[in-house]
Amino acid sequence: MLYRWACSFATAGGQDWIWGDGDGGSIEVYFAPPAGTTPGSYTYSINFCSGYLDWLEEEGEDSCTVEGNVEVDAATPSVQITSRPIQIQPSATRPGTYVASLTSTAYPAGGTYYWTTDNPSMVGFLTNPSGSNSASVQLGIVSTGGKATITLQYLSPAGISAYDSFQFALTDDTTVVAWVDGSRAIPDPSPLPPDDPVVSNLGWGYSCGLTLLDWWNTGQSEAGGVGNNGLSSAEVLYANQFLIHYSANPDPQSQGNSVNSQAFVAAQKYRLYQRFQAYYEVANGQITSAPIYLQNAPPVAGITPEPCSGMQIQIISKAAQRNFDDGARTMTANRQLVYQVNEARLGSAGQAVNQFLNGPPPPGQDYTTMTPWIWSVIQFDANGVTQPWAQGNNSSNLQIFPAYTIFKAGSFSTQVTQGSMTTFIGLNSSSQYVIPK
Amino acid sequence: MKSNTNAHRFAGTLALIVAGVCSTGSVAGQTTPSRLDTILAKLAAGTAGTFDIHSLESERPDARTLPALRQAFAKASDKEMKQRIAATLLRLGDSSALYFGYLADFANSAVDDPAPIFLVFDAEGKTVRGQMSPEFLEWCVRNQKEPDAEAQLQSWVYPGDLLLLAQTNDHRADAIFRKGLDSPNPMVVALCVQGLGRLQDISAIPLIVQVAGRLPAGARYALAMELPWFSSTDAERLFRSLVSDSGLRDGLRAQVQHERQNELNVILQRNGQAPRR
Repeated sequence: MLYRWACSFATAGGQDWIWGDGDGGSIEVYFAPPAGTTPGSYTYSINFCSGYLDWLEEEGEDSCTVEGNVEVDAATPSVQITSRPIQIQPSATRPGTYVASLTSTAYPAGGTYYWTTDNPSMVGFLTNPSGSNSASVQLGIVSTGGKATITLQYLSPAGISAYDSFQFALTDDTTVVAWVDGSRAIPDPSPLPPDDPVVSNLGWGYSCGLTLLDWWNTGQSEAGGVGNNGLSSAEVLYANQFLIHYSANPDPQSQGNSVNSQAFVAAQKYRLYQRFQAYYEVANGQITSAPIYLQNAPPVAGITPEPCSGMQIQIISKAAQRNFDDGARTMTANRQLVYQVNEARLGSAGQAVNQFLNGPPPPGQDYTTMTPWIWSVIQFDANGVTQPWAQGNNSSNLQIFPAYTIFKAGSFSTQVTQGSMTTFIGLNSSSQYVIPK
Repeated sequence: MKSNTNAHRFAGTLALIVAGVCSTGSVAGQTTPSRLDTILAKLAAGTAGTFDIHSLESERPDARTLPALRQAFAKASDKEMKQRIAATLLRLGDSSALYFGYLADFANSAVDDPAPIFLVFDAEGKTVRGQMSPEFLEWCVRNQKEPDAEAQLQSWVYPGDLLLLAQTNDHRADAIFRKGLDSPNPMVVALCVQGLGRLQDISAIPLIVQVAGRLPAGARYALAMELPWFSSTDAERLFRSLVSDSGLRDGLRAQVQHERQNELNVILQRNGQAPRR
């Protein structure tokens, strides 16, 4: 039970309340001398009958007052940055930069504040970072894909310092565009005779459409598949080259619009598009606050261009199939990564065509299990650093296909070359991203 | 394993394979569900896919199959799924007007659409990629149609609707296919030729000859691709006139023959005259 009584300090002549905590015949009291009390020796007098609970009466005592001596030290100061976790916002006046307000409380009053950072290339102070009126400051932050420690030193009137600090990470504003690079799959009819029907059928707009229609239809039954589709391996290779080449996307850097513009996103001239940026507090190599997402528009799966007509419309396929994990955006259980998943694959019609050309022969499997997924996963570590781009297995942050172009704050950063078409086609639906635990 | 519909499908497929191999097996007194049992269970649960519907056609006749398909048709809301169930019912012998009508309605829409084709062709008759014809765009404006949606109908939806009807080999579709020969959409025309060829409507060949005469090169080739569905000297004559290269003709014939053989295999398997693969 908590009690409160009046307490007078004889030497200082002040009066303040003290607090007590206890039960069962004894109590500990806590002195809080009035602000400005000079260090030294004082006599005190506590009136135990002055509080809202009369502890002495409860304990059966008949005297209200207890007196004694107490030594008042120089006040031990304390300071705390109170605006935690940090809240970062894009700057309204300086695009591409960010601002944050930090506030603090300190004891005893009347001291001086000194705000500093260990990463001045990332964090600057927009208001005076030191002085008696600097209990709060405005930070100006540049996204460097890194972290900074903010330290507040409070120097009390008695000349004693108290400190508080925290560390936060602000990631790069990262955009990943997955696109099919047609230059990596050139249709080559040379291994085939000049009158090969596959080459001829795909070469004319109408017959191309009819051919895909037939493959789509047959691919949904057990009638297709390698060695059972009526096509030679050279014809299958040519068909794959044709379909990939003529459903390619333009290089994101050549599309005219900034990758972060609405126009770029809306045009859907890509297979996958995602943009992601986050900030969070960190300590000892772990993320300690819930990540806040500065860029978190849902990832997008683009429209696969129709290979026969070259139209950027949803013709041969229903909409791309989005993976169950597409759009997943969270932190790993070990608090070391924040990530966003963008994962999809061809729509059902394209999957059936794939089964017809590349799937297993009878007893065939359901065509929906034959087409691998493509994905990009933007991962930021506890230092705010974007994880390196890697391909090769289900835990890699990129599928081996197609090409991926990565942008930071809308500017080109990295290009990951499109992997082997044949290897990719050899995969099936079990090739999908596995989210790290 | 991820909680994912695809994972479920994959697991379902594995179950099918196991069932296919061990259809008569039993473990500790329990009979392993046959592939048919599995598909019927999926139909009842509403989880069957188009692959399952096709697979039913190669299963031996079973008293449960048609009722299950009828029920699935009644429950299905997806157009393509409903079409495929209807087509399977017709092929399995339920000639109900309900199922034929469902397919025929879409096919009629395909042959009745008067829109000019959206594709643009160069002097050689090859498609100019990525462009829509001015005539088509003007038609869309006049008729308040959205060009992308109309192009999708022309190049994929209509041909798909006609193909599903043609594959039923149902003579009630003959009039639809004849009407479709007048379509401004060469893909519709070609699929109607296939439909008439499957029905061996020899009397339609003079009409097809006329149609071929007015089509541009690319469209003529599309029509020619479907002529091997006819078993007729007149059709063969037209085929030769449209495709001068004998090697290419052989290749196109082989494609149709391959498709015929696949369809025949399904029937033979259903009748127990060929092993299930």
